[in-house]
Amino acid sequence: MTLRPRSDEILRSVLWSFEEFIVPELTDPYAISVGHTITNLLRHLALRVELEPPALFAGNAELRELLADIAGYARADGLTELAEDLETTLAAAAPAGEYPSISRLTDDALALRGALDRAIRALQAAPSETEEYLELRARIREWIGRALAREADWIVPAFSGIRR
Amino acid sequence: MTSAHGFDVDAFERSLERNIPGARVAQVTKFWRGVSRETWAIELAGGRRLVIRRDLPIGSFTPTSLRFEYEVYRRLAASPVPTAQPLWYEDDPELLVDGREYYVRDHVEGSWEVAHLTDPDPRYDELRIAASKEHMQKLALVHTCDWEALRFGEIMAVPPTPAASAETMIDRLAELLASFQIEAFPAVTEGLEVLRGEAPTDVPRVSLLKGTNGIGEEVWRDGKIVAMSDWELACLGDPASDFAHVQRLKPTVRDRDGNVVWSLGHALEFYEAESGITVSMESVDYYRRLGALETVIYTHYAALPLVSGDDLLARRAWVSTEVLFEAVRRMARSAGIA
Repeated sequence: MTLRPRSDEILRSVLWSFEEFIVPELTDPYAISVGHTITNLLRHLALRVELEPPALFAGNAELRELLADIAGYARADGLTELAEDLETTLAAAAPAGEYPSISRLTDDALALRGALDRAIRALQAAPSETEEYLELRARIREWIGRALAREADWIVPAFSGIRR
Repeated sequence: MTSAHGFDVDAFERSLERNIPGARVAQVTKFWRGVSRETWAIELAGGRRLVIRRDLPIGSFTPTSLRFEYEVYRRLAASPVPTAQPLWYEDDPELLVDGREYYVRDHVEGSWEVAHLTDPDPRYDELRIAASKEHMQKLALVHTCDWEALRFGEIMAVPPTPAASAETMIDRLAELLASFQIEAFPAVTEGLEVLRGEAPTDVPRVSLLKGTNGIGEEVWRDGKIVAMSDWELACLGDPASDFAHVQRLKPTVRDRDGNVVWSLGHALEFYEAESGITVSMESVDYYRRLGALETVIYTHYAALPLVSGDDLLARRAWVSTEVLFEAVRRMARSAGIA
């Protein structure tokens, strides 16, 4: 068994070696441009492999709760099609019984976010001034804000300087 | 000449013979700028120069068709707007170059740059103002052209009223995104609801819009725009939209005392005198916000060949991560989401 170096440490090594030995040898303008892009993407990957899995895990758990509440609202408000859509999605994207792979987390996130998007459209099409409706809309926006803040952690610090 | 790197000259000459009998290719050069499509410069024996546009082997970076771009040029040829003369669109299976359709237009001598435009030396301030005025005059020509007579309504979505311009644009863009998207963007859906509600209603007219414009998008010669280029994002709508898409040509010039003597506001006043069209800064700001949706579309579209494995260019990975993320975040901000 080997644990060290970790994947982020290996990526850091690849990035350093690339910048130290490959980039200075580049002379073709297009190759230099691609080199800039690769450097940025390696920084992005080093952060993303570390931060994305727990962020998706947390975000998916929050979304399951939020979508279940929207489904409840939809049932009570006669939005049957939306309720059935959300319940079907939630059943298909149930939490994994074992530690999920990143591809499983991403597939679940895609399904759950797709359902959220459809729910937003359905709620936009059936606006209401009720407290429950307004609270759900506010909770949706709060969740989007949290998801974007998490994603920013592996985007904003990674990309800097010349990109291409 | 029978071949050039990445370009089947023999195949092109068969099409050339059909359209310009007796012409022969002397030289082929690939234009290094631009990522959305390939641009090739062709010099014929005798000196005439042509330009060929075609999609990349796996398609365009932008989700509008090559034929659409050609049809825009074809219609503009009968307008006062300066453009390169389109010559022909080749889609005959026997005459394709490297298996790809393409269109041919005349070359217009000039540069996509304006020398010293970004040189901070104050002696170039007058040049900056003159370039901005030239740009405004040409945008005025675009915005006042008779798009109905030029039959742009046949290839573009037509807003039913001027006030419906933003709504028509949003509908078109949302439909375009939905036609290929491989993941949902709840932030975009939230943002669009707000943008629909805040759409400008005081719209002077429906105009032909250029889409991206300014430096890098036009051909300049001796301080004048001699050809407006890159029409792939052209559409019909509120003239204010084009001012949200100006690239590197919104100079702010101050005099020795620090007073602003030229700015976007001054440019809009100059444009109004040229065109008779009033454009408010509020509307320009609105279309800047809506511009985030266009960025979402082209950056997300860039991911498709990467995901399918058809084109693994690293630039696609950057565009479809950082640039897409920032555009999605701008849409979220439109919805009041920090």
